[in-house]
Amino acid sequence: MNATAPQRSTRARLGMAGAVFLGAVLLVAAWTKAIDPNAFAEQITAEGLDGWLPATAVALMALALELFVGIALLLNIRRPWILIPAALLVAFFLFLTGRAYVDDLRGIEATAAACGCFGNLVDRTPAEAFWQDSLLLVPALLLAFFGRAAASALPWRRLALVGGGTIAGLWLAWNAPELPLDDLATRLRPGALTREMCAGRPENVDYVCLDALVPELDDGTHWVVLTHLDEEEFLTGLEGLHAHSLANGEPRLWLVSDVEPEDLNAFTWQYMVATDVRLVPVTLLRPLYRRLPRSFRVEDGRVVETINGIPSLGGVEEHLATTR
Amino acid sequence: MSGFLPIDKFVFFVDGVEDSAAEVYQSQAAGAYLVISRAIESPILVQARSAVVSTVNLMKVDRQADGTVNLLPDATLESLGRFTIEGEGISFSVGSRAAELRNKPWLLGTQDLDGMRAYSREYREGASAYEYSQPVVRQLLAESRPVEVKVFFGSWCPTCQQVLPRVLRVAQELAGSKIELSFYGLPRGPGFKADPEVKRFDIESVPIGVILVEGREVGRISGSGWKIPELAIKKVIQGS
Repeated sequence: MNATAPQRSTRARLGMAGAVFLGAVLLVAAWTKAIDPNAFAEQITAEGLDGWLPATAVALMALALELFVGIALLLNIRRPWILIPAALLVAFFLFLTGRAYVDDLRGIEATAAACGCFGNLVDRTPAEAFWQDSLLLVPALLLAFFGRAAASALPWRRLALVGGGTIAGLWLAWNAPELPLDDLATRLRPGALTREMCAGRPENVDYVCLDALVPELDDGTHWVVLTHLDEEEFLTGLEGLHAHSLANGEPRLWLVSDVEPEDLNAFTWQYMVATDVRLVPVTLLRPLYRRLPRSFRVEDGRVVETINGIPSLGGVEEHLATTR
Repeated sequence: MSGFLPIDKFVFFVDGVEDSAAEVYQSQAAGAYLVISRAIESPILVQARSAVVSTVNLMKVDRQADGTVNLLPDATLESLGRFTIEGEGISFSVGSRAAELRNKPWLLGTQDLDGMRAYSREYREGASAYEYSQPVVRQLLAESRPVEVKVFFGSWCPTCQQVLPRVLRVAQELAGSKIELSFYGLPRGPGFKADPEVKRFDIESVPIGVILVEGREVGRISGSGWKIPELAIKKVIQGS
């Protein structure tokens, strides 16, 4: 009896550590998705997982499961009806990252801008995503099966916390697009460097960073508007941007978009703006916004301010008044 | 309307025949192009945002000494209707005649430095404005091995338009040295993959520079490498 009690206690502690760690990883992953649910839905579409329900519904269901299991594990609830879904979630993540890894090895370009269970926020290669997720998730999952207590009454208080936390997480995801979380949810935030906003991997031939496509951002102060050229809000403010550029207004203004050259051609014929338009790959642009247009002020290659929409630039109205 | 600047990115066609002598001017302030062609009696004003095409009395076109053109304040416009966007250009009617303003044909195949510079004002002006790294260029000039930098580009490709002026300037500075830059224009669409040089060098996208030292490929420049092309060339050559 004296020999088995400490052994059980050690196994239980190891099991609890595994569960808490796995729960924490799942919650961090859920957080990155909850603050940008639209990007998560896009990723679901890109992965072909939305055949039977709209991508948004699939995203919310997946998020609910991840939150429920993550919080339950964090609270050391290790019943089979938690551990089995946890194992299925881990297997599913590894299937996705493994598939992307195999495609990458075969030279097939990834369709989704993001990799693995951490969504759009973390920039990883398919190989990194697969091996990091494997190392983070699998040992913790196996440990979580160790030293489980014998079946007893349901832990109602903890389950209530799990339910409440899941609902809170879903509320956050539902409302996130309207909350000022852009700097948290994207790679574009004050302090970010344009030379570090890149698409692809440095070892690959298609690797490109924003500072190469708009090298002028390295010197002085500029405003950059990220947009699709048919965004209504962008088109509404286009005249002001045009007037600012026409007047050689400071700071200098740039439009950055991921349109195809033929669409840029049509846009030029329709609007002929004085503002420079620079094209970037979608894989460079997508991690920088939750919705477009989004703008940022950059000083000597460093982002100092971000805003949703297009900037209100001084002198535009006066200029418009004189040119009307 | 004033401040129309001469531009060289379009060709003008009347009834399907190119008028190589046509002059095209652009005013961003007016959001308009002005086309002066001997094939058409009066200059034509193409207003981009409203898509309206009008004729202007030639006597109301005021040419300036600096090459720009103004329309005199009392110029009256006679509407010809609206233009339609077709492919990379626009088409419209001038009376019974069909007129088109199209983007210049793509530069295709092997091009030398002079051909590249002659193709586009933006290439020329951008090349003149590029402040290259003199120490790096001096090191490249001292290279003793024969080096060829084959630059694959598309004259239709916006990124190439940003990158090429810098490369042209470097090519100009390296002229006469052991490092020779050559330019190869590719079409957009299915013709891209069908091009024999694309197959030979396994080109996936443009702009891309293939660097050959003594006839052997030693590296490529693409993406962010084009920011400072002379530095990218030096890095590849040094690593070979």
